[in-house]
Amino acid sequence: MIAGYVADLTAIVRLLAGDEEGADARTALEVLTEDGHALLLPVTAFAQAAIVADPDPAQLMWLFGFRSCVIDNLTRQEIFRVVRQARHAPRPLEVPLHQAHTAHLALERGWPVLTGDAASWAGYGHLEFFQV
Amino acid sequence: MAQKFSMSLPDEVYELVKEMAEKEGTTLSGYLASLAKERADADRASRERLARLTAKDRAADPEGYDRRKAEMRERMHAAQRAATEKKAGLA
Repeated sequence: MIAGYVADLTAIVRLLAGDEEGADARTALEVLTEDGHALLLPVTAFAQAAIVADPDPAQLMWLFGFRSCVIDNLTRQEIFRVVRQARHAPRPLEVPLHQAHTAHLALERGWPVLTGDAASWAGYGHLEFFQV
Repeated sequence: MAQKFSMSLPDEVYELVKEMAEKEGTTLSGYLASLAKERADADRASRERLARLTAKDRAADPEGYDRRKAEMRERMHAAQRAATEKKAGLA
């Protein structure tokens, strides 16, 4: 995979929703699969999305099935770099793990973040965002 | 017809895959081939479902959908270039 995007919690929730609100996220997924690009799903954001969206398991398997969709684990070697990303937020002590993990992966790869809520990324001007 | 090629696996992965292949009563090659086929089938099924969903999205206004999709592709590529530049700027 030579290029791609990192999905944040809100983008994953929109992909899992399958309703009208997820239309832009589906189009983005269609575009990136046609382009042969990757969509990184941070394991922390993916798990949180499954908790808050409570999707049909078939929806989860649908995302798992794409060759383009890659679940990225959080390893112990990455903890300090993830924590460093939390420090960019206006309230660094309140940053959820999935957000800091997403930021870390986007920075490490040099890939944009697909998000359903770009406004929630205040302070992360060193990253690029794509609203879906 | 089967293509032959050589591949390298870390020792621990080789042992794991060999053990799993034996449990399923197949060869290492057969096991890896079935895994690859399963992966390809899953990708195809997911793409087909996405195609059905986006066909619904497109149905109301096909031309508008195609135009928005083309615009989105351009903006997504621009975002990729910008992200690459930002990363280079931090290095």
